[in-house]
Amino acid sequence: MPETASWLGRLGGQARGLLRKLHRAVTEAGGPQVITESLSPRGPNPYLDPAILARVGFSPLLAKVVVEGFINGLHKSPFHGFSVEFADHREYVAGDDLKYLDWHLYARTDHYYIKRFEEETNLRCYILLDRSASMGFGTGQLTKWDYSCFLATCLAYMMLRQQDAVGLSIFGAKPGLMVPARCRRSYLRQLMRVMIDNGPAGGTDMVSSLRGIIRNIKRRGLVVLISDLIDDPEQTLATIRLLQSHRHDVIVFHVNDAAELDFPFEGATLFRDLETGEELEIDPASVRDGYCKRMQDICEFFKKGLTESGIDYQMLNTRTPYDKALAGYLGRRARVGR
Amino acid sequence: MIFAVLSVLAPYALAASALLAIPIIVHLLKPRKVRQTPFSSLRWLHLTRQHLTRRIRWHQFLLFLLRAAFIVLLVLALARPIFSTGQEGKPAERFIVLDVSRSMKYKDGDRPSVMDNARELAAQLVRQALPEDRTALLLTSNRTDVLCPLGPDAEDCLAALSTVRAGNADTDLGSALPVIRSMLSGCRPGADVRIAFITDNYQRNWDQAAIATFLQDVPSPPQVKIIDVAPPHPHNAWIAGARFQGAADEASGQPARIIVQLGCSSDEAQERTLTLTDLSPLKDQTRNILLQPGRLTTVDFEVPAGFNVADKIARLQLTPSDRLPEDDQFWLPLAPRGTQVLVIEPESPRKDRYHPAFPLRTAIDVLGQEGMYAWQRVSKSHREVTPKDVAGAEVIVLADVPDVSEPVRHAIEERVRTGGGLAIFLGPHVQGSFYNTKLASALQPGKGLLPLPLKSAVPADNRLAPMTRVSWSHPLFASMLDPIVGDLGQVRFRSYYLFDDSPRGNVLAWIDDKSPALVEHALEAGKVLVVNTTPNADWSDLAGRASFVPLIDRMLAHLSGGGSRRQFRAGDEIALTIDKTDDAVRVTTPADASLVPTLKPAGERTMLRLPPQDEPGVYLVRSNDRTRPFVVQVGVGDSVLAPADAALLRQWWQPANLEIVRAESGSAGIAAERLPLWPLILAVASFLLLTETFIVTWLCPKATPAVAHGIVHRRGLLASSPKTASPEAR
Repeated sequence: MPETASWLGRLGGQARGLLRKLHRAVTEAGGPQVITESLSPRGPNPYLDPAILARVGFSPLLAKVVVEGFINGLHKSPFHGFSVEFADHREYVAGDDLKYLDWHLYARTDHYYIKRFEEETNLRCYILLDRSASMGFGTGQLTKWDYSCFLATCLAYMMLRQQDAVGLSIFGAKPGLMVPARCRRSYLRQLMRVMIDNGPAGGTDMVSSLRGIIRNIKRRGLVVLISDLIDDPEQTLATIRLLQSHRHDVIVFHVNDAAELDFPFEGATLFRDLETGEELEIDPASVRDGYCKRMQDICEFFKKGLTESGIDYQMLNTRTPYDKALAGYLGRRARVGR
Repeated sequence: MIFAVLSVLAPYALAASALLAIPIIVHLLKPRKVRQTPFSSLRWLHLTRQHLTRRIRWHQFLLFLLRAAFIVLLVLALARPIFSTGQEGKPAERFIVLDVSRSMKYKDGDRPSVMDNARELAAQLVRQALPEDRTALLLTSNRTDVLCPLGPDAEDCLAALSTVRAGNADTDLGSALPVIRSMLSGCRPGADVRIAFITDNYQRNWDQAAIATFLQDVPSPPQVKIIDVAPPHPHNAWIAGARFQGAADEASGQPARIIVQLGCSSDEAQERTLTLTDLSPLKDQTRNILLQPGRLTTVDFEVPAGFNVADKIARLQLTPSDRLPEDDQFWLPLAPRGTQVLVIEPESPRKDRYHPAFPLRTAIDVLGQEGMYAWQRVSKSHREVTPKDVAGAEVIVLADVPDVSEPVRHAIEERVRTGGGLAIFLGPHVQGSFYNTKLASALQPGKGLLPLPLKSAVPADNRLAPMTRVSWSHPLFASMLDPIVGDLGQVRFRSYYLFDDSPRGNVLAWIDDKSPALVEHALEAGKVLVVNTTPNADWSDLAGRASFVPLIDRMLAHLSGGGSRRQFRAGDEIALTIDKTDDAVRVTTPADASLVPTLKPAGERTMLRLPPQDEPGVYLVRSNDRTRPFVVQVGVGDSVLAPADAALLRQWWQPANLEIVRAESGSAGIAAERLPLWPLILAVASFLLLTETFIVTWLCPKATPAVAHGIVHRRGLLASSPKTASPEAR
């Protein structure tokens, strides 16, 4: 109990420090003109803005803050009370949610205690993270890989928070490294270490990679695929459907950079393929319309093809706030839990 | 045959085509500023690559073509291209011969003179030279001066051409041909030779002998064009000549006479007045005369007996003046006695009309009439003649003599050098060894009495040899084309001498184109005339011709010009002898200008030389407090305004291609038409520049906004326009 309290206390202290750091990042994000606007938030929840989070840095705590902030922002959340079983109390600290305050204990002791619950593990989640070189592309403050890693971290945190077992598989041209599913909170840091140590590199072979992963996943569960899906669309779709056919619940996060969707380049540009090294000199303005149309067609193709198969498809770009992705996960998770 | 030629006047400017490297470097060779960026995958971009490439090439290639074409056109315009028609495409050596003789002064009222028109045409011809042509400009009267040597820059001579004026000398277009022949040696192989004569094209302008000699010498027949600038209906009257005939015996009281001959060229008779003046204290005498076209009119003036004519010069004036006024006056030096003619004859046992010199004697004697004298003949055999006889003669005639003694030969040479005249008749009595060793100079052929050594006497081949290639424009043959006395061309030769070398003097006529018939040779102040026949009928029928006596008269007059007659033609070099003096000698012109002569001792006398004088009138030589006059007359050859026979000219010029055009036919008939192309090229280049600007400022922003903005921004064109403002400004 004391150890737990001290651990929680340290985590809470670190979280508060992180929050202050995050707050500064939010207030400084827009430059001087933002200050004159009296710290007005840049959206429903500025703490979920990937650009701002990228300034702070990638850490498990940040994932916690994001997830907790996200959860706190869900009014009348349908996700309350998942497999909750009381575990112990800890002393209330500023910022804790009052709904977990044990009023009975307060009446007895005249001290504030927060109730802590031992949640049940009822699901195995597998995060399949594309680590091909194309994921290293980014035109903003973070690449698709950064965005995907943080999204995976947040998802893992949320899964662990809900007592789900989380596994991670990083794939590229080959199935790659597979981290088995576990249900330990400390497992989050291990997953992050795997992501950090295996940066984007190599090409993409969705078919062979996913087929290899399928062979290694023995138990059915929730499969979260985070990828830019740059491969043959037909075969990629068929392979993802193969996951579904193995009785997995599948969520696909199709991650793109904003530049991949808008193609905002100007002037004669020599583009170098991050995966193959091939170079192509073109005038972006002259191909912009055709390219964007083609990208829309591809996204539409995946969305239609996956949705028809009962697979959740969520197209993200690196500027999409994480709550959208998390909401998508929770929606799928809720359906799986029922 | 008409050809169209495109050529450039400034080919060196084509070197500026190196500027074409600018668009090539900018568009093709210069590494393009391409931004490099990594991208996730090119999978989706490959599908639009071909379409993309075409659009970039279209834009860039169009701009490249426009800019390259602009530079090419600019360079072409600098090279001054011209489009020519009417000439063959080969380079040409062009000789423009401009007639500057007296007849070119013809001026009809307020119209420009013939010379003005000719000068304008010459300038036009010079300017119409094609880039590879070379042009020479020659000025011709009785001699030829080179105004501009053969070269590509004849236009530099146009300033000098504008100051050219017609002189008072007669026309001898043939004198240009030896000059042209000498310049042809520097011609480029394969180049066309074109000769253009800008002349009034009268019959006496041409010399058949000179033409034939020229055509024999040139390697290939040239293209000859005669641009006739003569007025349509010329008319002129002139004093053809005058002679003073004093009484042979002054004691007889017979008055002397001045016989004047007048000519007329026109469509109708002309009424004129002839006045004799300047014979103080005699009064002026006047005659009203009616001049008939094509006929000589003779007028006599009497001079009282006992009138001292020493150093007197009578002036004859024809009034009113016409369109060639220079030949309406004449100055006649009056000699107290006739011109002394020494005829040196061969010894012959026959003293009658069968004497070899009988026709010559008779001809000289008949030139005086009824006690009047014109020529005072003294006949001596070659054995009897003495140096004293030679010294007293103005003209010496060697009439088929075998030889003379050395003192006599020396005296003859001395007399000729000091202004006397020498006529040498060849014949069967001539000893070739004496003539070749004593009269001809082997080392210096031009310095001997005989201008060329004799080879041998030959008979004509099975027929009588005709006289050919006669220089009719020479004063010796003046009026020899007359229908009455004009049988000189019908002279036939039975025998004649061949000469060792090509003639060095002026060959005035030929015998059957094989040997010279008449050779004129100047030896310091005197003249030598070699007649390649006998003075009788032994070798030719010349002595029996009607033209023989006039020919002898003109021959003696021509040879004695530097003697006591002291008459020179305008354009001739002045050479006469004066008394020996150590004082300064000064010559005053008719316009009272002073000339400084060149003096050279010549035995007991002094040789006076002056460059050719063009001003007619009385010149005064002042030395030792003594003044002696001499006269410069205009040539009367140019007074006869008889158009040349085109058919005869074509015959003379065969096998050369002769074209005769009238100046009034316009420039198209004279030379090639030239159309300068550079104004058109500049206009097209300007249009291309505007098009390029239009594409850069209007079309490019639509096609490739970023590139266009960059270009417009760097150029500063339309920078204030919102459409073309730089992205930063926006």
